[in-house]
Order: sequence, then C-alpha cells, then structure tokens
Amino acid sequence: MSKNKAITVSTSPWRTFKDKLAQYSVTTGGCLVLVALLLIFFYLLYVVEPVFHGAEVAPRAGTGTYTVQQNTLALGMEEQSEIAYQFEQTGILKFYQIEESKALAPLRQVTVLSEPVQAFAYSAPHQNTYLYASGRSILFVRPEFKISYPDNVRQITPEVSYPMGRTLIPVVPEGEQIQHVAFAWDEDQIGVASITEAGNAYFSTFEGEENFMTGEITWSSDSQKIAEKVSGTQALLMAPNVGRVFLIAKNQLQVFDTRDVDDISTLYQLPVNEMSANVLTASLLSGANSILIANDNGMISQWFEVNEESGRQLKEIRRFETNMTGINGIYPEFFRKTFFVTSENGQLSAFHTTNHAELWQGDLGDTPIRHLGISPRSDTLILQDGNQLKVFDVANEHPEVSWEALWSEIWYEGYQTPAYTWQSTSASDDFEPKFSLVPISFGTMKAAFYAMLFSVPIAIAAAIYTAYFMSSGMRKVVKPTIEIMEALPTVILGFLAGLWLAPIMENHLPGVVLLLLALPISTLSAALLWHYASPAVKNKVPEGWDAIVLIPVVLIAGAIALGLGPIFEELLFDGNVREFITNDLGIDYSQRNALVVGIAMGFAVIPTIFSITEDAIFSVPKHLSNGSLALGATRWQTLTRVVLLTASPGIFSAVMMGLGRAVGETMIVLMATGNTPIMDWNIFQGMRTLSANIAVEMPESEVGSSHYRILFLAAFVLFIFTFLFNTVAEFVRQRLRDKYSSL
Amino acid sequence: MISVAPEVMNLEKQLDLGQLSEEQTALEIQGLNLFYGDKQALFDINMKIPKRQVTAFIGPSGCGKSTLLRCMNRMNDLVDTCRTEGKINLHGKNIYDKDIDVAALRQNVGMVFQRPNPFPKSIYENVIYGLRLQGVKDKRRLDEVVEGSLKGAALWDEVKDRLHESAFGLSGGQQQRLVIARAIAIEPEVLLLDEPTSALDPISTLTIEELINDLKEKYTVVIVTHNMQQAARVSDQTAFMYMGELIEYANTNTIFTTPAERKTEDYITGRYG
Repeated sequence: MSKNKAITVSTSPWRTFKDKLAQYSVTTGGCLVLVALLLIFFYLLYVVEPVFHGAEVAPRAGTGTYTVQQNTLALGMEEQSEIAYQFEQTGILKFYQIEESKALAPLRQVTVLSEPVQAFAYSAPHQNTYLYASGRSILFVRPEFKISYPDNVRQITPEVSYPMGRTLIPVVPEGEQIQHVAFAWDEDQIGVASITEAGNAYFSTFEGEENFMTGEITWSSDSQKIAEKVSGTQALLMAPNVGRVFLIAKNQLQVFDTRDVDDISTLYQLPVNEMSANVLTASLLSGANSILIANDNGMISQWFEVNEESGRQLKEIRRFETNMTGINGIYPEFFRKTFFVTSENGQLSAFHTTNHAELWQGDLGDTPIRHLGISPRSDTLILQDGNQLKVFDVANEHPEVSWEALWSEIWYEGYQTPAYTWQSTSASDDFEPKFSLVPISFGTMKAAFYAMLFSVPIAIAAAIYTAYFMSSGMRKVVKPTIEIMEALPTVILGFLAGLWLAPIMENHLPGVVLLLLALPISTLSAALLWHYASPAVKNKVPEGWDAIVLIPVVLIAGAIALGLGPIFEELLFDGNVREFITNDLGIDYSQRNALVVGIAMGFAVIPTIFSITEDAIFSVPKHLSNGSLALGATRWQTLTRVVLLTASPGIFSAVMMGLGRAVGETMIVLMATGNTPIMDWNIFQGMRTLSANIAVEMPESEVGSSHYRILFLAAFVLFIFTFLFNTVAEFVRQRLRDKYSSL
Repeated sequence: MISVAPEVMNLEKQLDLGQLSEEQTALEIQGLNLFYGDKQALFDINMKIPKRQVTAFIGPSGCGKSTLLRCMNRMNDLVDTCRTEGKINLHGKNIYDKDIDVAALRQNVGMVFQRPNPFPKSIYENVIYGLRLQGVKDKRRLDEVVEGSLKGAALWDEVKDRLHESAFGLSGGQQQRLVIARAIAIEPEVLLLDEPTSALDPISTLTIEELINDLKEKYTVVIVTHNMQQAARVSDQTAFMYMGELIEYANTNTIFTTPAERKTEDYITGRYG
C-alpha cells in the first residue's frame, strides 16, 4: 500500500445511525436512572427537612400594639386567632379584634364581676374556663365564640358564658377570704382548691346531674378542708381530671389525692426547688402529667410521676437551663409539649420537654412580660409587654422532632426509665408522641437477621450443590424452579406465614424445633448412608440425580419430627411448651414472631441468593477446578479451596443482595409480625420494621404533620440503609474480585 | 532450536518401544476405547510409554490426542457422558479399576493444561497447593518444596522476592512455569502436558521447552502438541494420532525422518492438519 493512500473504512450511514442511536439511548437510559434516584433522594429530603427547622417567633406585621391600663389576669385567643381576650383585674373581660395588617382594636367588653377580685385561676388551656374569686365565693367564666356566615362571610362573635350561673358560689367557710385558687373541669365534675388568708386549704367538688327532660344540670357540692397553716404559697395547681392537687409552698410540693372527696390524703411532700434557689412559679404541661417548676436561678425543672417499686413517685426528670432572672410565667401549649417562659425583664423562650430542647429565645425589651396567651393552634401569641398588648406569629411546626428525639433514649411521661419508643398516635390529643426510630430500625435489622439466618445457609448450600455436583439434566429443572419462586408475590408469602404458618408453629412448636434439627441431621446421615450404599442401589438412580433420594428422607424426617413433637412436649415441658417458655424461661411468646418472619422472608430471599450464588459458582472457569483436580484434590477440596474462593465475590454480592431485599421487604413483615415496635432479639417476639411502619402508618398520618414527615424520614433511613449496604457490598466485592477473580 | 546431543539420540534409537520391560514402562495402554455418549473418540489404543522420557502426541485437531492424555489421569471422568473400555496400567495396575483412588492417581500423574491456570492465591500458596491437600503443615518442608519446585520449573530467580504476591501478577509464560512447579511439587511420576505452550509467546515457549528437557531427568513427560517442530525438539518418542486411532508410534527421529505410515508422512509434511 502506498504511503499517501488514506485508509478508508467504508461505513454505511445506516450503520453509523444505528451505532449512534444505541449509544445515545444507552446513555439517556443510564442518566434517567441516576436522575430518578436523585429525585427520590431529594424529594425525601425535601419532605423531611422542615422537621429540623427551629421555631420562629416574630411580631405580626401591621398589628401594632394596644396600650392597656389595668393589670391583666389572663390572655387568650379563639381558634382562628382572629379575636383575643383579656381578663382584667377589675373584673372586666375585654375582646380584641386581630386583623391582618390592622392595629389591635377593642371589640367588646363585658363586666363579669363587679366585686373586688381577690384571686383568679384558669383551667387547662383546652378547657377554656376561667375563675374569679371574691371574698369566699367564686365565679366561672367562659369566653365563647359564635361563628356565623352572614352573606357567606365568616363572622366570629364573642360571647361570655357562665357555666355555673351568674351568681357567686361560696366555697370556703364564712369569714375567710380566698387568696389562691385552682380548679379543674372534667365533664361532669368540677374541683376547686382554694387557700384562704387564714392559711386554710379547702377542696370543693361540684357534681352535675343532667335532667334528661329539661337538659338542665343541677349541681351538688361537697367541700373539705385539706390543710391548715399554709403559708408562703408559690403555686396551686390541679390536674384536669380533678384527681390531684399540687400545692407548692416554701419550696415544698405537697400532692393531694383528691379522687375521692371524702378521703383526701397527702400523697407525698418533697422539696422541689433547685439547689439554693427558690421556686417562682409552676405550671402543668399539656396532658397534665408533668409539672414544670421555675426557679429564681433560671432553672426550670420537669417533674412527673414514675412507677417505682414503692409506688408512684414524683421525680425530677429533666432540667431546662435558661439565663432568665425573674421568671414570671410558664405557659404550656394546648396539645403539644411546648411551653413558653416569660420573665420580668422582657425575655421570652420556648422549650419542648420531650426532646429537651430550647426552641426559641428572644428579648422583647426591658419591660416585664406580664402575661401571655397562646392560640389553640399554637401559631399566634398575644402578650402583654409592660402595658402594651402585642401579637406574635409563631412558626413552630415540628417541635417534637430533633436528632435526640429520633435516636436517643428519651424519658417519656409516665415511663419508669428513659426508653427508645415508637408510638406515634393515641386517642388523646395531648398525648406525648414518641418518635424514636431506634426500635423500628432495630426491627428491620432483626427481621433481616433472622431471614438471613434461615436463608443464607440453605441458599448457598443449594447453590453449591446445584452448580457443582448436580447433573446438568437435573440442574436444568432445579434452577428455573427456584428462580421462579422469586416471582411469588410477597403478599401471598406474608399471608401464608401470618395466617397459616404462624398458628401451626404455635401449636407444634416442639415439632418445629425438632424439625429444624431433624432436617440437617437426616439430610447429612442420608448422604452418608448413600455414600456407603452398594453400587446396585446407587445404579438405580442416574448419575447426578442423587438428590432425589433426599425427597422421601426429608418428608419422613419431617413427619417423624412433627409426630414426636407432642411426645417431647409431654415429657419435657409438662405438655405445654408455650407455658414453659413464658413461665419458666420468662420469654414472651407471640404467635407472629421472628421465627415465622425468618422462615417466610427467608423463603422470599432464598431465590435471590441462590440464583446469584449459583451463577457465581457455575461460572468459575473449568480450567481452575480441573487444575485443582489434576493435582490430586478431591472434588470437595477443589470446591472449598478453589471454587468457593474464586466465586467469593459473587457469593458475597448474592448475600448482600439478599440482605438488601430483606431490609426493604414490606408485605411479609407487615403480615407475619404483630408489628410491635419493641427492641428484643428474642426469636419468639415480633418486631416492626421501617418499611412495615411506613406502610401501616402512612395512610393515617396527616399530610405535612410531624408524623408524616417522620415517616418520610423513616423512608429516607431505609434508603440510606440500602445505599450503605450496597456501597459496602460493592466495595468489598471489588476488593474480593481484585484478589480472587479468575483470569 | 534445541539441539539434542547425539549420544542421547543414539541411546534412544536403541530403545525398542515394542519390547519395553516393566521397569522401563511408565504407563501401558491396552485396548483403550473411549466414547462420548454414542460417539467413539478413541479406537483400540495400545502403547507403552517409557519412563523418564518425553513422549509427544501429535496429530490434527480433534484426533483424540488430548482425550488420550486425559485418560492417563482420568480427567475424562469429569465429562458426564464419557465412558472408557480397556486398560491403562500404572505399575501394572489398571487405573480404571474400581478400587483406585482417583485423587491418589492424580497425585502420581500430574497434568498441566493448555492455558496457564494458577489459582487466585499467592505464588507460594499455588506451589504448595498439592501438599496442603495432603495435609502437609510443616513450614520448613513447605519452604523447601517451594524453592525446589520453582527451581525445577526454572522460575525461582524470577519470583523469589515476591513469593507471597498474587500469582496473577506473573506473565503468561511465568504462570505456565508456575503451574508446572505446582505439578512437580507433589513429585508425580508422570507429568502430562496438554499443549503447554499454545497460549504463550515464542520466548516463553522456548523456556518451557528447555524446562521439559530438564524435567525428564526426574519425570516421565507426556506432551500433546500441535506444533510438530516442538515435538521434534523436545520429545524422545512421538505418537501420531488420526481420527481417534494411533497411527504410528516410534522414536521421534524415526517418525520425522522415515515414517512408516503414509498418513504420518502426509501430516508431517503438511498435507493436512
């Protein structure tokens, strides 16, 4: 060929086009997969991210302030945050209109009490009832809001109602004057605790009985003196169910059991102040299980009753450190565990008890914040700063979520000790949600662990036999059969496991345990017998089809094991193995347990592991195993020393793929466990996994709520789990492949 | 090109393949027929392979020479449909007898394959693989064997500083010598080489050929080769096979200079193959 003759490769345009088309479509496909993954990732993050925002409290633009002259006793707001109200020392209840970008304007005022006010109390926020005390008598007041729609425009009209009538009701003996008062309103029972100037404490109840004909309620009252010579009262509180009265005087908390008015006793009395500090004020947290006590050194402590061996005991659970001096009020939200703290020198802070966090902290000026009212939806505050009424917007959507609340032990109300707990909802609104992801992550691990325990040995052993020992004719039948098991819908497996397998296992537990022992033993001994069987017998089975011999062996061993089960149960466990497990071993037994899940999910995972392992072993080059055999190795030696070593990257991938599947599997764990989010490795206990948790709770969670976002977070954690597993798996696989890959 | 010393050639000429005594015979093949399923691949092979000599099998592709080689350590057992008739005697004992331990047989009759097949292990572990199988744990002995075998396979100088590195780091020729070292580490009597240089470059081929010449000092070497020049260079005896039959078996010199059969002559002169 002459030098200057160019080398031309004839390419038809069609061929080039196809080539380019293939190239671009493959690239596009790959990119789309990546983009889809990233989209999922970022969408999850986008939904989850707001839970980690802190709270924001900011003055509402345009509302301005309103100057008040009188001392305020309480501030409050109706549901829509459109009307605020103020109880004044003068006995007047004032309503204010809060409108978007309009100054706070007085709307209406009602003289509730014309006599001098000596004491005042308010109920738990959601009961929305207030009490004036004058002399020896009290008056209940309830601001109410009527919503009407004249001309299709919502109009809210403030009203005042007197739930027990307009007349004052005496609750302490004649001649005494109420100085402190607390009350609770529990449907048909009202409790009032009062301390008089003479230092006597009284407890009165009113029980209402509804007349079915007229609907009128007639009240009967009963009153008891519960303490004498009370002095230095710092706080008087009553639980909303009228069952407890808390009196803090001279830094001592005295708790009265007031469930039975005829038998009121002091439950305990204990000092509640911080070291060298004095109690300033106290308040009940929403739900009223916790008492918050503020000290003059800026420390706020949370107390609640804990069940101990000696009975229920009030304990200090956690402390919130503030730099405030002169705390003058603790205001809990209506339903959540957030509370606001105000001080004499204009500081305002928001805390959340469950996750032990300061949500927001701000300084509103030097003037004391005299009072604060929170709207029922917790999105608006009204407060009296000096003599100015001001309205604030609160952005505090997800106070209950923090890293700590998700991943560490939290001491929840009523718990004996700190615990990892997942309990997202309950019947009552003021319940403390428990959002620890630890038990469900643990459940995921536990389910995967038991599934792997069951499936890995079986799948790998089966794959080794199929790839290495089985005749190719039998392999052609066995491999596709096992692989088709993968297509079995997991919902069917879960259904069978939960409704068929679980009761069987419960009824034949000793038999099942025997079966787990009998199968490997009988298989191995059958193999041994077969090895020494006479050639005449062996020749009846075609070469490589020996495994068929196992079918009757396994069936017979299974039948014997299940048949022997009851006998064993009778002999060893007095005829009831479940009682033995529960009573003698002290292990809880639940019907849908990890054993059932392990078997059912193991069953789902086996085809994955089997298929990949089998391919890996089968694709070990023949020249390697031949090389080993030619050196005088037996087939077993060749298998263990060369074949498995060379196939190890593939086997490792197979196990990791199986693990990935077990971690993400939903339907089986959902149906075959009790979905109890407990942390216990016990094989006879159920669990709740991340995926099952999402499936169970997503339909019932309110879109945009903390619960909803935490479920997304659970999905994100699951995503990270699988991502981590796959990354580690790929990394290890690459290392193994570099080391052991064949030529 | 290796020149074979004249006196050696003379000695070989005196070796009468038909009249080998029992001491001179390493393997004796009697009436060997081999079938793959229904298809017969070897037809009534009868021959004696002399001890401590190099015997080469030549013939066109598919003539059965590799199959015959594989019969000598029963590697054909691994093929499901393979069936043999006849005898191959080692020490006067038929290796196809039922009471023969195939693993023990293969320790005596080692084999090196066409493609280098080191295990995914270190050089050291590759060499002692056979000993490990036998359960040898004595570190000193293992070290000695590694050195001895690698020297025997003319590889020691090249790898002595990296014995514990992966065998995959070696070149193809080195790998093939490593495989030979691995085979001779267990001191077989017979070493079967199945086209050991067909995957190698000319330089590596030369090294291996030199090595084969050295190996016959201690081992009976049976080599299958495609390459007639190679057979001529390395072997003492040459067997020509065609269509599953042993056409001619004689001293290498005889085969290449005065073949008795027409087919042999056609083959070695390149009329087919």
